Amino acid sequence: MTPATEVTQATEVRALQDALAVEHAAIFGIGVAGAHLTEELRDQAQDASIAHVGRVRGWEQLVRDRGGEVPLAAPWYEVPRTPTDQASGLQLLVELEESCAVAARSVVEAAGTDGPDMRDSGSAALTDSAVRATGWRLAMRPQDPSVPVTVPWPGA
Amino acid sequence: MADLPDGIRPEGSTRNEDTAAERCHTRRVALTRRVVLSSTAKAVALLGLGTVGLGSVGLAACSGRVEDLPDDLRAALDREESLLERARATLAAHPGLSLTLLAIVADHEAHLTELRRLGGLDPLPASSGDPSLSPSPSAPSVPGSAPEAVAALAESESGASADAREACLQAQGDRAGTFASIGASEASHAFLLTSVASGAT
Repeated sequence: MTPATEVTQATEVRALQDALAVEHAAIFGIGVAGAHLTEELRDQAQDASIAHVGRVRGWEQLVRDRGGEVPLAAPWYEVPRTPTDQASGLQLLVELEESCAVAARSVVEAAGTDGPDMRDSGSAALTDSAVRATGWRLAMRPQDPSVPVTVPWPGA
Repeated sequence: MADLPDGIRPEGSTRNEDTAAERCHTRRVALTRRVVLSSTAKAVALLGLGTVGLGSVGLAACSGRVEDLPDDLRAALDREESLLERARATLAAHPGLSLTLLAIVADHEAHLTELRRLGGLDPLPASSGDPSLSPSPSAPSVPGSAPEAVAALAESESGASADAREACLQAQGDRAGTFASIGASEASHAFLLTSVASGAT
């Protein structure tokens, strides 16, 4: 392995480890938010949680492939807001997906062009989080029609 | 800022090669990354950042030529111009959909502005205001039925999203992240339009 390759791989591992920490926190936060949702939205939150777990498994493998150490999830995370009703639960879900989008874009930017698996995975994660955030904003629309549903730069 | 994770760079830094297009930009305005959660020490290192710079967005101080741009950037510009035209034409044909379509038009204008900045091209002329009042003479045809028009635009957005993500795989430096974000934004447009078509909103 050339020194340049080593640097790239170390950068990739750190970006993946950081993104995994954000994903772990998001999975925790989705559970917190889900308790305040209607049954239909709770089902959607559960689907989102399952998708995030799948992303975690994929990124853990990419870390191992690069010889890195897989970070473990913490038993508890501080969330940016304590939801008290459905509106604040949905707002939390939007914020969680926005955080995951930021982490995913970092994965994309850290990936070398000779590692298309990582870049593709980061891009897919960014897209998934942007779409889920749009879904949660749409669910907020009946209470607040002025909420912008899409953003031009997910992850930025 | 010295202890930032490598995946996040401080405002003003760049890992791109110093291209002529970038050298001509004199004014920089940082995009921001918002990080929300905090937890373990590891997560706090990433998540406690609040707001940090992501690359830079500036206004071009010189005019490049589209013909001189890298192929991927030129293709991205073509896609954005086409999508913007289509979204504006759909809005002009179906003003009742303005709540949805104005936001999509605004997103595409932002994409196009940033792509032109990356290419060292002159900024877009200021918007004339209500795009429904000024459809381009070369605007694409739009189905007369609103659901069909929405479905057609959703298909265009979805296709452009896939193309942007494909371009991301081989793009150099910051362009990879830009293409990935544009692809994600367009996927969310397709999702929104599909939801509108199905009467979810």
